[in-house]
Amino acid sequence: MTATFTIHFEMAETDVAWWAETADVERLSVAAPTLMGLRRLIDEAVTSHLGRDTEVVLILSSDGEDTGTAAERTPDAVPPPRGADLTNAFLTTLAAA
Amino acid sequence: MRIATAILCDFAEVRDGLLFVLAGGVNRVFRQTLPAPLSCCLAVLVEVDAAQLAVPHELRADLVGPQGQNLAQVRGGFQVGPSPITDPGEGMLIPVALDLRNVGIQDFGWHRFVLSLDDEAEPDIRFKVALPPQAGQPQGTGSGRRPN
Repeated sequence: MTATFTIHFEMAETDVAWWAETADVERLSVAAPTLMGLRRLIDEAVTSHLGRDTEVVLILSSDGEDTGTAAERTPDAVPPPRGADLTNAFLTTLAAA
Repeated sequence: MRIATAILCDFAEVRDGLLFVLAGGVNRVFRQTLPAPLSCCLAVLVEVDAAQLAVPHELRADLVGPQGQNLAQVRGGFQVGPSPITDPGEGMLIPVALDLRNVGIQDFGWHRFVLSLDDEAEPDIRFKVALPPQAGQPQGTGSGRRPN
């Protein structure tokens, strides 16, 4: 079995939060201040609800603030000989004093 | 996974999967008066192993001032999709450009960006905010100055 989670990033006034949603586990809501913390909570929740053999798929939502870090490709763009394909990114500056 | 490169620069952007850096290697920011905007970007290349490509990762950058105060926090996530140009088992370089030009600088002295990937600390990036050199004073070369 596979449990697929969509991961979201939310910005509050002084902090940020990661949270995840899934259609594969009923009434499961997971949130944490760091992405690694969220991944640990998801693993624990999946093990608890669905068993250790469940495969976990994590998909980062792209609903965060766009800061222009995503690579833009046009039909005429030549694939770079080196580099990466950044499919999702959201980077936010907080609390500039 | 690690930060392969992190450079303070005048400007950075990601285009076609590559990191474009303008005037990189800034380690002095000269300001006549404070507070003032930082007017810099942070260009980062993250090296991700093939086994870690499929899961989301978190990049953090905290700007810490001379008295240890937190001036800005950058939090973000990235996830890498399959690429038609990489070999099986090959990792990737993820380019990230952090626009920090509007971050406020409060004090003269040494500042540092505290970087981390998935809660693992990476080497700091340090720079000094200072008064502009006096007119006629030798300025040397290659010291990564940002004059305005």
